[in-house]
Amino acid sequence: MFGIATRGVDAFPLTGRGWRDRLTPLQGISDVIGKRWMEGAVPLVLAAVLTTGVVFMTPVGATDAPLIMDEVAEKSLLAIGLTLVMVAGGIDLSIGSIVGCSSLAALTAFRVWGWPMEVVIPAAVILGAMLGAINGVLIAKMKMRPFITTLVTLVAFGGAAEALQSRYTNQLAFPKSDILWDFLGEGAIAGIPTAWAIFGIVLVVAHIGLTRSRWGWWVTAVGSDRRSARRNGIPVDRVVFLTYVLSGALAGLAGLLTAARLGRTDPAVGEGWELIALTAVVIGGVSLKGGRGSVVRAVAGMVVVAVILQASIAFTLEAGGYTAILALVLFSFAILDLKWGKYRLRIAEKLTIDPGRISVGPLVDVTEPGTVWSINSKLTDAPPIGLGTIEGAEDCALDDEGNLFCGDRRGWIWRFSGPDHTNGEVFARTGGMPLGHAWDRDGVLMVAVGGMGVYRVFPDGETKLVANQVRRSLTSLHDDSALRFADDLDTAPDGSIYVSDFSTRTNAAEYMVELVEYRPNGRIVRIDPDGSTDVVVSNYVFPNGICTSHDGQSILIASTGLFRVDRLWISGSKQGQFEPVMENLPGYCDNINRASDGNYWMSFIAMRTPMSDLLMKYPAVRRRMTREVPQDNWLVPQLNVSCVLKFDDQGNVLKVFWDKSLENYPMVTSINEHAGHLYLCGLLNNRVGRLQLDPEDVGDIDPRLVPGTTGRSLPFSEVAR
Amino acid sequence: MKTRVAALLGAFAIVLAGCTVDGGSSDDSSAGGGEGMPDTITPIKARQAVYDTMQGKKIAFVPILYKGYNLTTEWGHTMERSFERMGAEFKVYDSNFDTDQMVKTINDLIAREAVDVLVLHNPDVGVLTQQIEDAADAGIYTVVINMISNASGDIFVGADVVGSAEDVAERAVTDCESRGAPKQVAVIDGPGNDAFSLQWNAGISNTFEEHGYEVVRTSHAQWQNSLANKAAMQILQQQKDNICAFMVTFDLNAIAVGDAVQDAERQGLIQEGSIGVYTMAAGAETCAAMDAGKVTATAAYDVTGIGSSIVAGTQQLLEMGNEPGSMHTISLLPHVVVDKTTMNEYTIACYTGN
Repeated sequence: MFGIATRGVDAFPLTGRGWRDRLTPLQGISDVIGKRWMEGAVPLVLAAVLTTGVVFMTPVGATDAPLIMDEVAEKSLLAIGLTLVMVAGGIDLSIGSIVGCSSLAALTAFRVWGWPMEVVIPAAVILGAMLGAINGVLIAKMKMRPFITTLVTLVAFGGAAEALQSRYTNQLAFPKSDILWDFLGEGAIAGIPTAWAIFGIVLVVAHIGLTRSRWGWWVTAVGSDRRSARRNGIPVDRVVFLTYVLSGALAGLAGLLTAARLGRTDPAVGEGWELIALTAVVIGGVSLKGGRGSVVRAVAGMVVVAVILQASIAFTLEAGGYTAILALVLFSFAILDLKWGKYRLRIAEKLTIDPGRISVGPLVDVTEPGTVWSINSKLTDAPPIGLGTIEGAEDCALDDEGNLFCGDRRGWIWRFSGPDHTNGEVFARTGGMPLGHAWDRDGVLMVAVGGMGVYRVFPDGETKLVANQVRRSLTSLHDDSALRFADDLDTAPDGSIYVSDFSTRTNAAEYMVELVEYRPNGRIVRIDPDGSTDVVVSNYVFPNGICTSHDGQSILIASTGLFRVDRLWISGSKQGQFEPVMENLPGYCDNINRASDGNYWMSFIAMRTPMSDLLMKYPAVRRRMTREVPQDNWLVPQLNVSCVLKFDDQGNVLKVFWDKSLENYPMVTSINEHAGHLYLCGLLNNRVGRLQLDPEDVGDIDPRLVPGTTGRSLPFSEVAR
Repeated sequence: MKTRVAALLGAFAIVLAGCTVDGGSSDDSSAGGGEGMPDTITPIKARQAVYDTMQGKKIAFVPILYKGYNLTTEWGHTMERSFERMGAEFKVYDSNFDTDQMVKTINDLIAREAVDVLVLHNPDVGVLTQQIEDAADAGIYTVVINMISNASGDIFVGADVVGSAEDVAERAVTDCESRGAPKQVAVIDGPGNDAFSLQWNAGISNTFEEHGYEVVRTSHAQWQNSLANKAAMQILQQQKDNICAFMVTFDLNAIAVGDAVQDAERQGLIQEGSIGVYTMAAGAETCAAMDAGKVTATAAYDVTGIGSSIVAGTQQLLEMGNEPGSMHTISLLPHVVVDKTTMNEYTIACYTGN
């Protein structure tokens, strides 16, 4: 929640800020309210507060619990049925009258007609289901509006109950005893009152049915969007019909239970219960618009209603008082449902960008003549490969046969073969955004695919997932398990792979958000040869380039956001230590790769300016910018520079190459040295450049080999899967 | 599959084995009080003993309807005057014709053991059965008034409804014969499942069968004046002068029926004075209605006496200190048939509700 989920080396101090800047309160709020369960949680928490308030401020106490439970058990059956109907996008107002019908019919059948209880019990439920089926036919088959239909059947079924009562009134009044009747009304199953037990079973079945079964998903789908549900082959009419039948059957069951418990024989049984059930359901956060809702929450809503009812009884409010309170509660929660449902995600979205503050060091002026940084045109005339066919190769790799493999923003990996890499073909398709390329110990191509994770690509172009997740941080509200933005990778001598995860919050397509936010959301992940993963550096600002050092004992990590390169020792006496290599560089670092002379190549994708440095100090300005200015006009580091530098293990910058014109190479994100040439890649370029190196720059190390290994037994094309 | 069926059967057996029916157990706690008064006691000490018994006792009255209803306010005021003077707490819980509300109120009072005596006015002969049993289990006495139920509580006190119905029906027969009207009557009762309606119908049947009268229609007006009025109008339109009397269970409904009869007379639907309206009980409104010719005659029963009997009965229960639910007594109070000319001759007619 507050950026304190630290694993491995904590890189936060590199930002130069104190603990307060670790906190991301707005983002924390956004994370919380963006959770799916928040939809019902807010109404429920309010309801819980209301209940607690009522319990503390009124004479209602523990002794009332069984009474409240009786009420909850009976009326929750209605609430559960109503939830099913409402999740499917309908409403059932007739449940109160169905209770009356089945209650009086059960009493009549038992007391007047002398039916045996073994028949009366299922008959009452079936009667309810049949009345529900009338609603179902009218609504699902005849396409009548649920509200008006069930309002009419509320009156009609009520009339039927009244007629039945009127017909048998004299005989109805005299009780008859039966063991099953008493079992329903006053009995217990394993010590739990029968009605509670029945309610519990119904609740569990309905919850599992709605959340875990195919039918439950159909119900939700129909309520969310009828049209697309139909187009997906869901039998919409049947699903809707069945929800009304179930609602009716549950109302029938409630009627039977209330008949057994109270033995009321006046025609007003069940009158107004639909309002009580509706209030409970709305308090429970079941949407009035359909598609959202849970029976468990509806039952929690019923508890609230029952507690309020009990309080109004204990307070000896006038009978109208309770109805008024109920109406008020229903009204408030209906408004809450409407507004919260509408604004929750919008609020979450508004708060999710929560820019941070970074301390930046002094800025080197690269335009000053006579320094190593002097701008030149060394890169300008590098001949192109795949001109016009490539779209955004972030990185590339070369095999022993001189084939060039490079990514493409469209998700492909190209292979350029032939003497001058003239034959280009799409070699593999990843489905994500291929970024960093590297060889593993066995000579298989490894690609960091933005949005997907790390993949191995075999000679036949098949891809295979290596890793796409790490264990989730326990303290993080935000699910940080996925490798959302795997950017660059390299192999260590022990075969493990180090991957930079640019951000745990956004994926590659939303890098602009990350550039504005400027939070230490990145991390370095180690993938062991057995496929297990672990975070080795966390809270890092935009980790990008990853390169195993020549001695194989450390990993160099380029931080795009902090203009620096750090070293993580992975073996030897300093293992686990983290130390700076270069700081306060004049540009935003991208990939690092080994050079053949024992040094390293790195590129900048953007240059620091006084303006960009200034913005780092004012997170509020950047936040306001994201809210008031279209994304195209955001002030973020402009990714429009081609700058390649060579540095040594001590962090001394040895050489800098530029494309001053920016015509051919508007950006360079990665440089790979092979056989006396530098291959220049750029995420926004339409080509890969091949620059002939001066002999003085070429050494005898093969930069493609994992340090500490002595070459591969087989060329890439012959590597077995 | 076999194992699954066996497991299911096993689970079912376990559940069944756990099923019980609780008939309700009674504990030995009593509402306090003594074992009755000694054989001899001086008047001053006797009075003190009554006050000591009643001191701090909590008595709740749960009528079907209270505010604005002379019948129950009559009893309520009598109880209030008596119990509060003696240091007991008395409270009325108005159900306002809502059975759900009434049941919940009673359940709540029993659950919190907030009372020593419950005075109940049962809307339905069956509905409070469980509550009366639960109250006894919780050590609470129940006094059921006027609306007898299948469970009559420790004390029942109320009108002799059957007797009243027989006597006022007798009066109706006399009136009908004197006019030479048809031997047909219509009945408008309450919900029909309540003690009053059941007994009323039994009583009038006794008389009418004896004299060869036929009940052509019975309507359930649910104690509602509007429904009673509507029912009477329908019957008048269908039967016109073919009936000679309306037998209305509830006196306030009888006034509404009287209105319907007068309307019918004005509209010329029936001849003036051809149909009488008979009921039982005589509150001040009923007396005024008799004066206005809307109600012909009523069996005025001792409403005030019921209030006094509750007061006396409650004191007796608390003084005797028997275990609640251990003994049951049922007492019926007297009535007299009155009409416009005789109503002022009897103290039990025309009570005011105060």
